[in-house]
Amino acid sequence: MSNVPSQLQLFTEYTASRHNVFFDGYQALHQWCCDHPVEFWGDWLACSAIPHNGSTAPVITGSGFIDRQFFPELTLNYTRCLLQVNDVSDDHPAVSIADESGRLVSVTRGELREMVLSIAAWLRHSGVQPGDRIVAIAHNSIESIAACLGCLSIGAVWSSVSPELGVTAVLERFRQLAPAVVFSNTQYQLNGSRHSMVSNLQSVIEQMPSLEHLILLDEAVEAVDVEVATHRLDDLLEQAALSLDNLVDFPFDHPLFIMFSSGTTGKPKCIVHGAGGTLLEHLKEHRLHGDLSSADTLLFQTSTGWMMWNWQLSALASGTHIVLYDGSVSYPQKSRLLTVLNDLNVTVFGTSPAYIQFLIESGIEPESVGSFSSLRAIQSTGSVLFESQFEWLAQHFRNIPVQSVSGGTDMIGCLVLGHPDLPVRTGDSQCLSLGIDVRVLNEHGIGRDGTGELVVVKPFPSQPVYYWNDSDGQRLSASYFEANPGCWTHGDQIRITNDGSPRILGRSDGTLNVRGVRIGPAEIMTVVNRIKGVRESMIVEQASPREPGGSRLVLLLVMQSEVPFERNFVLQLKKQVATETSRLHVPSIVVKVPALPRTHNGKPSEKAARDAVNRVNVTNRSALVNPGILEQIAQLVPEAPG
Amino acid sequence: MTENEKLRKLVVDWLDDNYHFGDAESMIDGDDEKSFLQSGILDSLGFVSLVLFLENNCHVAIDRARLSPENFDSLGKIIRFVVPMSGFHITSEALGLVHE
Repeated sequence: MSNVPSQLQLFTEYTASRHNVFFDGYQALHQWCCDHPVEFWGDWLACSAIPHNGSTAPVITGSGFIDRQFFPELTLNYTRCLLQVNDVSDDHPAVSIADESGRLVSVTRGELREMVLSIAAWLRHSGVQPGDRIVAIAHNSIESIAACLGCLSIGAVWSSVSPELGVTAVLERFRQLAPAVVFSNTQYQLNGSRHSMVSNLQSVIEQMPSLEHLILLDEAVEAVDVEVATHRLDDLLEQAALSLDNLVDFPFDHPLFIMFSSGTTGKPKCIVHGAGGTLLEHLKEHRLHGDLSSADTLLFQTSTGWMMWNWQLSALASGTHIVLYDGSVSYPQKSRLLTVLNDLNVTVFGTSPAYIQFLIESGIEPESVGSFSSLRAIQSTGSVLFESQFEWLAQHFRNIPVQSVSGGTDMIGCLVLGHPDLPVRTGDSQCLSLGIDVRVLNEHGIGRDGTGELVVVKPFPSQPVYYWNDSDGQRLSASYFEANPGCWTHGDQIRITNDGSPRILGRSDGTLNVRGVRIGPAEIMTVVNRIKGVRESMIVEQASPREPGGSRLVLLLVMQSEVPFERNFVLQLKKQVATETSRLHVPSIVVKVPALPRTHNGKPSEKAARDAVNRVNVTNRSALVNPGILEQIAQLVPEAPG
Repeated sequence: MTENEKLRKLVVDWLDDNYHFGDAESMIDGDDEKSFLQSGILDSLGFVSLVLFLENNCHVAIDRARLSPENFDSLGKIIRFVVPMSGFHITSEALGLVHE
């Protein structure tokens, strides 16, 4: 362990001394911070030293999750907070991009600032107003980072998806937002092949009448034929840059990002996250839990469609050098991503159990790739990290701490995290997120330890500020607060030991998780139920420990009797799902079943079907009108390979 | 059907089921030596899933040190590598991939 105290240790000492309290370990600190939210969030804002204006009091108004407001009198500019960091010079590396082709490009903080402020000037000149939505269909690149920060600097709201998403899925998300501007790539490279995005892009733009400008993030190799004004990013970069000092501040809850979460019914929910809450939470996670600073180089394996992209972006506010990776992690060599980690002296590597399982199954020995001498922590998120994966990482990466972190899109951050000074317990996350009152709900009630539903019992700054097109807040309320009134119900199962060590056990709701990516069943069923011959369908996740990600999707189909269920039908169905959504949405197994399990009020029961598919005891049989169907489903669905 | 033909069908069906949804044969285009990697038929992440699938359906154990393009980068290479392995056999159930 280093002799330099961690930022968490310094913050603990600061808090103890300022409030004249003694903390007998992290658990005591965590509980005190949850019990004293005004003191904790006020102190953390002060310690974070982000540029802001207005008053830091009151810290919180309102008493519940719905009416709470953090720092109502404070204003800030998210972009300024990321680009203006004390003691970090203009020539410090800001962002680098590596990809499967071996390309490596870097920009300094000074260069990034110029890019961002030129884009901001162009957007402002083009009439973009605070609160306008700007969307992006973009791969991981310096250009997409600059576009995002340019947009946010003038108070516009950013929402992005990755290029693999199909036209239907993109439209289901973006059309709800009525955006004025779209940034887009025109091609992407994967496994050595270039894929054109032009046809999809044209279809998307045709069906989004609100759009006024298309900005191309790369050199288009073919003409983009659309009826909106089209510009190249280079045109924007020629604009005289705004000055950082002239950026306007916005309220703490000013909308920043719109993320999407798809449930079991309806269109994806548009979750609006506020600038201040997002930033304060990310700073806390980066600096206190991850000990990130300007001495660090962070590479988090992500895409523009996942909240970890937004999360890594905020690390610029700690002066951290961000390394992006684009393309296949295993092309042209299986070890390509590891080579990048080693060559770029990455200090903190963020990945997923799916990638770790790939390393294990493909027989890669990291020691033969490099020494990874700069690497000091590995973070994993997206799905449950199994004990065997912890052990493999420890064995092959010099016992570097492995931090299993978990949270989600809904709070654009994490509920369980790493700790720079605590030992790692195999299979567990190191600690609960500071200042977030995470509890366990089970048959004994709400407790600080035990196994059950993960709930949060006090408001926190990175809750969504609202849902888009949900003026009465009904959808937002139904998503988090209806199941267990007075609590935020996160949708995960958790176990917390009596010494405060948490472990996420998996989802407790119908959300699917494939290779670390959350997928809403509704997105798949919307496509499937339109296919001729399908009467109804249900999609469930089956545990499959040896698959990357630890699970696979099983589609249960009730067919119209006159339509034959043949191999070609299944392949066409899969192709349709892949085209309209993405390949990740495609079920591994498609099974024809006589009926779906239904409750007495006629609602299909995903939980009962999931239990049957996973051969676990179905606890709610009496709630079903047709419990006998469960045995038939279990018989029809093959067991996952052991 | 010979063992080689059975394995070929098994792999093509798997490619269709998981990656190409009916287009695998046309991508292979009659050339069983066509490189999976270079022609975009499969990437190295896919190789891992394919190996798991082969282990489960051909009753073989594949040494991960030998998971390389040399042995898996085309239909021909897979057949030459897997069929001679100890325990290799494919049941008729394994060749029916739609579960009705």
